[in-house]
Amino acid sequence: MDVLLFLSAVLFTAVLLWGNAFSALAEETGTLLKYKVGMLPRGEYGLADYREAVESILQNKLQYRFSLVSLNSLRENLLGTRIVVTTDTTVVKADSGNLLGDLRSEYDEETVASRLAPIEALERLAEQNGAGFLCCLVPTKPVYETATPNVINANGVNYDLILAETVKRGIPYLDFRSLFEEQGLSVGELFFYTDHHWRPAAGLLAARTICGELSERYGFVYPEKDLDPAQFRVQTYKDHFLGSYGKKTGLLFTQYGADDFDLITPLFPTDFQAEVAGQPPRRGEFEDSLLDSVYLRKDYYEANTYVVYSGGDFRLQRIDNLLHPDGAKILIVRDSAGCVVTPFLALAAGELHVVDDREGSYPAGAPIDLESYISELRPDYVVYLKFTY
Amino acid sequence: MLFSSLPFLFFFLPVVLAVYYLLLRKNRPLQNVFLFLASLFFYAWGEPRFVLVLMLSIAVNWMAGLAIVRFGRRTRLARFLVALDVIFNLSFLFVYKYLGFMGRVFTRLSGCELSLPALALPIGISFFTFQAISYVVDIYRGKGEAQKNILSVGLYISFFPQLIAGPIVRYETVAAEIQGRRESAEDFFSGFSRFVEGLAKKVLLANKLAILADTVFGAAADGAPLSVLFSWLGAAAYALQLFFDFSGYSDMAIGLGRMFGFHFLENFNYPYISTSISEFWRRWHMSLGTWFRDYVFIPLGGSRVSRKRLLLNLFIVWVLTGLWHGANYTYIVWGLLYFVLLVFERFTGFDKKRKDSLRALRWAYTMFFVILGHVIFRSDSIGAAACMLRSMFALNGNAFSDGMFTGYFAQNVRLMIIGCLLSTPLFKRIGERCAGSAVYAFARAGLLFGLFVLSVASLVSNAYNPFIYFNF
Repeated sequence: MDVLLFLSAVLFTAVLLWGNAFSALAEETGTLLKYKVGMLPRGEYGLADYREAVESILQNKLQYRFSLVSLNSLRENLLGTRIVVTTDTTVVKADSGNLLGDLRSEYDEETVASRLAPIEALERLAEQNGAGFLCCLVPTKPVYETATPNVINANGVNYDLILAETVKRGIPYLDFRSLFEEQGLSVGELFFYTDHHWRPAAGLLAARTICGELSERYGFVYPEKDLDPAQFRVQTYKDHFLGSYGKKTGLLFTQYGADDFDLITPLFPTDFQAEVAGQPPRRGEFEDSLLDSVYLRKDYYEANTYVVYSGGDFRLQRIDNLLHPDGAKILIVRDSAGCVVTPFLALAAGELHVVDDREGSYPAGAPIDLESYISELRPDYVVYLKFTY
Repeated sequence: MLFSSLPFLFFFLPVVLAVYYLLLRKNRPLQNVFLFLASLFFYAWGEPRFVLVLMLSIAVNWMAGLAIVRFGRRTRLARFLVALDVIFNLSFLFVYKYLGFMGRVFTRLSGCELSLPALALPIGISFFTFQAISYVVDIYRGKGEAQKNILSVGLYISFFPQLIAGPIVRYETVAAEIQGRRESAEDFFSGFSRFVEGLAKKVLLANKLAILADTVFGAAADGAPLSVLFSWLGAAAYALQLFFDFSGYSDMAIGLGRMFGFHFLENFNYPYISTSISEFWRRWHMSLGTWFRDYVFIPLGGSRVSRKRLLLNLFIVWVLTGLWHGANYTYIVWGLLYFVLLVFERFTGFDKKRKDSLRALRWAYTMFFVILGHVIFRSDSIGAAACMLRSMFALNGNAFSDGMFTGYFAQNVRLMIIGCLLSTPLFKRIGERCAGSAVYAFARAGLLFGLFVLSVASLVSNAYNPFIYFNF
């Protein structure tokens, strides 16, 4: 029977290697040999490059790789694992089965102050340019969940600290945590189980709330009916989206499997033009110009369905509401929380300028110079919307 | 390159097996050359610059072996050559492994600052150096013929199954097999089964337990307060991690060796069922224990000497055993702990006492000190070890239990139960009882295949896969 084991293992190995992995390995080996025998310029390729290539090929090109990831997640689930440590992140399964990440210890005063600094700077810019300002505090999912007792989760405490400091400094704000609690929304209604982002329905609610707050504070005028949930069609794609945490832990790590994904589109006519630097402008109805159905394909491990909304994160996106040209000019500084908010917010504005100013190499390109952009644009309102960490 | 890695499983091993058995089947010399070159490639995959170190070791030891035979075994000159060779090999080890440490020791003892460079350690140097010494000494003792072909010596010293994590293969056990081995289907397939067992132990058990162990020991090193139960949980997790990692690697090495017709000796024999420290060391890392016995303890006179001299011999052996594991005071303390315990058992006849009614107590005593030893072994420093030990015995003013314990316990208890069961010969005995049963054989093959698939799934998922032999 050891023979049977060996033959099964050989077959299994062959099946996994068949196709892309095998041809990539062969090609890479050929390249190495060519360099070693002098058929290609020496010194440009060596064992270290070959090693890196082979490891990458075997990590990324084996057949049925994702089935194995799902199988591994089932094993972890059955063993009672709640914390999954991978090479680049740690994901925790909450008591409810929800997946959590980016759990923080309690912040000290200095850290809280550092969180408020960019918000205050943006508020000053808005004031200097005569724009109404609103800071939207978006709670992260761990605020609502109980992680395991061996994991520190002070995200809720930190949210309250940042909120308290925001109030103390007199910054106009929207506390989404309280809003959601008042509305009696559960964490499953607000957030995806397998991702850190909030659901499209939460994004629509957020857009409506922002407009209501701007209206109350600054007299913002907008077509309220265009943000009425009854005016939208909801198409639910069942078991469709495996979020960022789910991709890292595997499909079967929680009882939820993959998330359902709602495509929420207006029932009424719309006409937008959306522009991103370096890309051709998109013109058309809401779903054609502001959503990107390319990401709607069902591919648990390689598609990020969340970015159907907005098409992703960009340093600068301009959206013109061609049916509402006299509407307000709004500039929103956001992170990925804004993906499901800005398409709906665009329904209420004449122009919506969406800025992602996160540091680092994501999104691609350098952050824009907000000071000159705002002074040139002279928006009516400046909104800050990011996850509150 | 690690055995528990995708490049080894899907690239290196299939290619080596295919070339060895399909292309070079009828040519033993070419097979040996190929295995040697493949082993160098295996080593160079992770440590290209240290291949030269390995090759230098091979060259010097090959020459020493030939010289000893040339000038006659057991002659004065031969003894001198052996001594020279041992000094050369140990100098290698000293320079790469202990130079920086010795500088720190000198500074601490003398008060004068002596900064010596801490060189990067070639992986496996402790293993292949001891094998090289074994080669020369066994030739001197007449327990094996000197290889005329340097590539054969290279194959013995650098053979990839045992190159980076043992077992330490004594030359006398494989001398005849370098040229005269006979591969068989039974060895090949049973070797593969053994390899899969080892892979599963390493990937599915050791790697998972490592997360818990690393968390606890990391917290202790940072001086974080650990509850009593949490620190014991971490210590127990490390005991299981270390056993499954090390014995898993040994299983893979022995299995791979068998696939190529080599028969390495066993390295572990259910050490956690031991009822004395003496017994533990007859079951744990047996290749190292027997190496020190045959190449250090016995040449020093062994146990057929006066009590004082015996104490000295044991002291030397256990300090060296500790130091072999790494250049740190913790390893010396670890070695001395076992020295004290073994002296106690030897001089009280503890190991000889066989009252079954006290077996459970004797087992508890053994495991208690083994775990304490593991704690010292694993800690980065004496201070960290002390912190961990104080936590374990509630000497830190720490709580008895906390959320860290309850959380990690709940998440690891199933795995630890499996680990504890597999630490015993229970399944081996079941296997022996069912030997001959086709149903059992089929079920076993199916289970091992399932474990192979799960191991690959874990590796593909980029799961935590630590390599704990970087000190060796």
